[in-house]
Amino acid sequence: MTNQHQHGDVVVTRPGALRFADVHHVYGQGASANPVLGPIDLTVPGGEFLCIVGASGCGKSTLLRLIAGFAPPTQGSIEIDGREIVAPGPDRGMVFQQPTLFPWRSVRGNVELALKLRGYPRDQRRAEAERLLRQVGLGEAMDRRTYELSGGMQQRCATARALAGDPEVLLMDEPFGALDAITREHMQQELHALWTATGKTVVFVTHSVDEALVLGTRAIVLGGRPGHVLLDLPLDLHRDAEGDTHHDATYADLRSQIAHAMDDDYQRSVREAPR
Amino acid sequence: MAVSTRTSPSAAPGPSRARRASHTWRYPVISVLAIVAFLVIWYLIARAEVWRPLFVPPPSAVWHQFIRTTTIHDGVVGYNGKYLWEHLWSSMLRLFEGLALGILIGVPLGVALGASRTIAAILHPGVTVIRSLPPLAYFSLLIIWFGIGESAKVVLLFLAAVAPIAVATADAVGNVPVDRLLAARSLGASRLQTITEVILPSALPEMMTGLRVALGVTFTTIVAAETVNGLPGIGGMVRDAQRFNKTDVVVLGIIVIGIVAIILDIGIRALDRRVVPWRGRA
Repeated sequence: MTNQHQHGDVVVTRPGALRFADVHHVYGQGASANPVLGPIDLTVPGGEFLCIVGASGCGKSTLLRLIAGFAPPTQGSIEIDGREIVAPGPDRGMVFQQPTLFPWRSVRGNVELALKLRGYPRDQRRAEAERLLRQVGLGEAMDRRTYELSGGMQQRCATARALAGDPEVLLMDEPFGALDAITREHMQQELHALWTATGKTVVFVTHSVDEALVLGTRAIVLGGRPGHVLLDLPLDLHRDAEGDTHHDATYADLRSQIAHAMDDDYQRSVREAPR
Repeated sequence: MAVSTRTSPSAAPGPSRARRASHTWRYPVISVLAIVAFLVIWYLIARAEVWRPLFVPPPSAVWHQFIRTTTIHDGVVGYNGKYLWEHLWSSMLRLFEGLALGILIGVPLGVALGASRTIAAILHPGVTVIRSLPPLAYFSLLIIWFGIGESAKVVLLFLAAVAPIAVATADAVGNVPVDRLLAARSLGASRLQTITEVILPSALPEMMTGLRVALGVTFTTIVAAETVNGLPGIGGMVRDAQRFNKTDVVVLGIIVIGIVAIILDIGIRALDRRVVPWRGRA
């Protein structure tokens, strides 16, 4: 996947580019200050599928929440297409590990509410919600209650909700972490198809190396205290008819590189753990 | 289409339909049998005159009073010039006035308590005191302030209802899952939209529980409140009959109160299932 298209001499950059400049984040203040992240310097071209891999507590969820704009970074700045992120915005949609759907609304109602909050015109909400739900494969379940859905279907609904208002960047925080292996595999293939169809930038947090290799065009390993980029790998694995990447000749090598980076980080954290 | 998805195998499996069906009739039947058994024992005790009819009137005497209080007899209407259902209606009206005021004030109060620590610090002690005191403890004070008319009773019922509703709402508002709030924020919800579209609906299950508690408290309170100038009113009728040793009317009143309590509880549980069908499932 190329991120820039050449049109004669003009380089057309796709929207949804992220830039992290000397980003640090600290929880708490004074004596209880706990630096969790930094320094992070990264450039993510528009349309990239970036997987952030790391162990629990490496700061990967924090990084995602900074991009979402839930809190400003303690130091440094994050930009989306040149605009500094200071708050949540319609250019970013977020999918959480737990689907966080609103059970008092139907599947369609959840997406319609998202469109309403995004300021979408009232008379177009229903049609747009239905289009988004069909896009994630929930065309037959629009009138159902969210709590009647399986975990995978709930996450599809949450994805449709995050896509409301056509954001440039989709932020996903271990969205398939709570799903069984078979459902997870299907969801990964559907997400890949969705990404191919929409061309959005995706920032995908996971602790699964294999998930990163199946989905990403680039993987970064986060680790250390405070968390920083230990490894930054471009991925360009060949995909078979089922969307699987396991058979690619470089798969094993890439997998062991990422696994080694994570393992080194783990050994170091054990050695340095306060006693 | 909706039907086909609803019956799809991916729908959450519950107890098998047959088992559930047998449960739906078994327990009501047991309840009815228990009531019948109680009536039989009552009849036998009264028949044997273990205690004098002044203490334990026979079921037939109570039934006779039921007929008398719902008809005109010897030119007298019902009990004390009002039919039984008019006594009941007066009580219910007071109850719903108190409850409605309790919801009207209790929900915003609860939201304020749950949303602002400062407001909670100011009001929480007062709410706790009101909730802890038996409503009758301050009824005397209310009578001094408002007299023995309707106002004192409605204010009493309001005070009885407002505390459980406010406390339940406050707890629920303070315990909305963080990710649910972040989901709303990430979609660009304003502060007001977050309250109306996310916090209040999230708090509905606990608010319904608070309403159910409030209904129970106001119901027990009203019968006691009507011991002071409570006619017309079902509690007033019981109190009046007691003064004239009409034990059968007292028992009739108690039975009516009990039946109404059961009906109200069934009603509020049905309302609960309609309002928060996701209770315990999301």
